[in-house]
Amino acid sequence: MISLLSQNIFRFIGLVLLQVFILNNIQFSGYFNPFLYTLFILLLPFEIPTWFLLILSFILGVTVDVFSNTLGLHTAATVFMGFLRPYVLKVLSPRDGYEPGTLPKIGNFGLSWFLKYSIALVFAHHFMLFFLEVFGFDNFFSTIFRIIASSIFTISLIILSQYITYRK
Amino acid sequence: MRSLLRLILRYHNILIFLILEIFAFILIVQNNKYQRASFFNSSNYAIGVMYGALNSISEYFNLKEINNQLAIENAAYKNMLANSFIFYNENFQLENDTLTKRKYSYLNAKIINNSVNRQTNFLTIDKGYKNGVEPDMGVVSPNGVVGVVKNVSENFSTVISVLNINLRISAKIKKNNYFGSLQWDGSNWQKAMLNEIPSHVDVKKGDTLVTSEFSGVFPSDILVGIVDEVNSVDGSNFFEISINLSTDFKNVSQVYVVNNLLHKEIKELEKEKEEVND
Repeated sequence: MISLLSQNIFRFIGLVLLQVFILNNIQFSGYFNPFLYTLFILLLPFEIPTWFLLILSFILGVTVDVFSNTLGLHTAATVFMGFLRPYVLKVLSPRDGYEPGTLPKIGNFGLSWFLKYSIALVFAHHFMLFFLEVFGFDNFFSTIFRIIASSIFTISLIILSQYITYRK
Repeated sequence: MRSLLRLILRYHNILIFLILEIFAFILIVQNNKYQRASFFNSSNYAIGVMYGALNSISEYFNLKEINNQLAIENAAYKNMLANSFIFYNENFQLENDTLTKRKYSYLNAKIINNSVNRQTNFLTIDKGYKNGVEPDMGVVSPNGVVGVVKNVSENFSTVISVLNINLRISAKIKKNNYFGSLQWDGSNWQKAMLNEIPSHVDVKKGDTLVTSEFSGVFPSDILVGIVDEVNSVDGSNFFEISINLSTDFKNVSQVYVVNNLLHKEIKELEKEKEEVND
C-alpha cells in the first residue's frame, strides 16, 4: 500500500515536470501538442473512490495550469476526464470484473483493452481542453483537427512510455 | 430533510464533479477578464525562479544567434552616435533642449518562458515592478513588436504575445499610412491578419507594416511585418490581409520594454472627453 502511494506521488511529480519543462515546448506546426501528464489519471488503481479521483484530477490540473499560465483550462479538462473514468471502466470491464489489487496496465489487460481505455479518456480530455482554449465554436473543424492530431500524439507517447517502463 | 441528505449522499460524486468544474470555469473566466497580478501565474516568484534557472541552461544553445543580433543592433546604434557625424554646414546650429521632450524610454529584459503552440500564448520576462515595469507597457524585440505586458510581480512580468487571439494591435501600412488592427488567427505562428483596411487602398504583397501612432503602447513606425497576401472578400468593403510577422517568436530572447511617459496624460485627457460626451 505504501509503495503504491509513493509510486503515484513520484509519477505525479515526474509527469508534471516532464510536461511543463519539455513537452510544452514541443511545437510541430501548432497542431500537435502532447499532454502526457494525463497518464497519471489513467494509471490510478481501480479501487480509488470517485470523490478522491476527482480531487486528484483537480490538483493535477491546477498544477499544470500554474506552470503554463492557463489557470482553469487544464483543471476543467482533467476533472472532466476523472469524472468519466469510472464509467469508461464499467463499460470496458471484463466479464468477471476487475481482480482486486491489479492496476489498469497493458501487462494486466492487454494492448487492445488499454488502447480503448486510453483513447476514450484522452480524447475526452483533449476535447474539453481545446474547445475551452478557443472558448467558442469558431474554426470548429480546425479545432477538431487539433484535438485528433494531439490525441494521436499523446496516446502514442502513453503507449511508448508503457512499454519502456514495462515490468512483469 | 432526510430525503435531501439521502439524495446528496447518492449523487455526491456528481456534485463534487460539478463543484470542481464550475470552480475551474470561474478561474478561466476570471483569468481572462481581469488584467491584474494574480498569484497563480508565472509572474509568481517561485515559478519565475524555476523558469529562470531552466532558461539559463537553454540560453547557451542560442548564444551565437543572439550575439549576432546584438552586434547588428550595436552597429545600428553606433551609426546614430554624434561622433559618427561631421558638420557639413559651417553655420552655427542652435539646439534648444526645451523644444524636445522625451516620450519613450526603454528597458532591456530577457525572455525566460515562451510558447507559440497555444491559441493564447504568453511570454514571461525577468523584469518586474522593481524595475519600473507596469501593465499595458509595450514589448518589442530587435526585429519588431512582441506583445503587451499583462501581469507584473516584483521581479517578473507576463506578456501577452502577438500570438494570442485576444490581442489586437493598431498597425499601419508604411507607404500610405492607412491603419487597421492586427490580430493573430491562431493557426500559423509566423503569420497574422490585418483587418479594417478598406478595399480601395493600394496595398500589395511586400509592403511594410509598422505600428501606428494611435496605439499609445508602442512608439510609431516599429516594424510589425511584411504583407504576404491580399484577398478581397465578396460583399465586403475591407481586404483580408495576411502578414508575415517580422519577429521570430521561436527564437526571440532579448526584448525591450517600452514605457510611454505621456501615456497617463493622454489617457486622462481621453477620459475627460468621454465624460463630456456622457
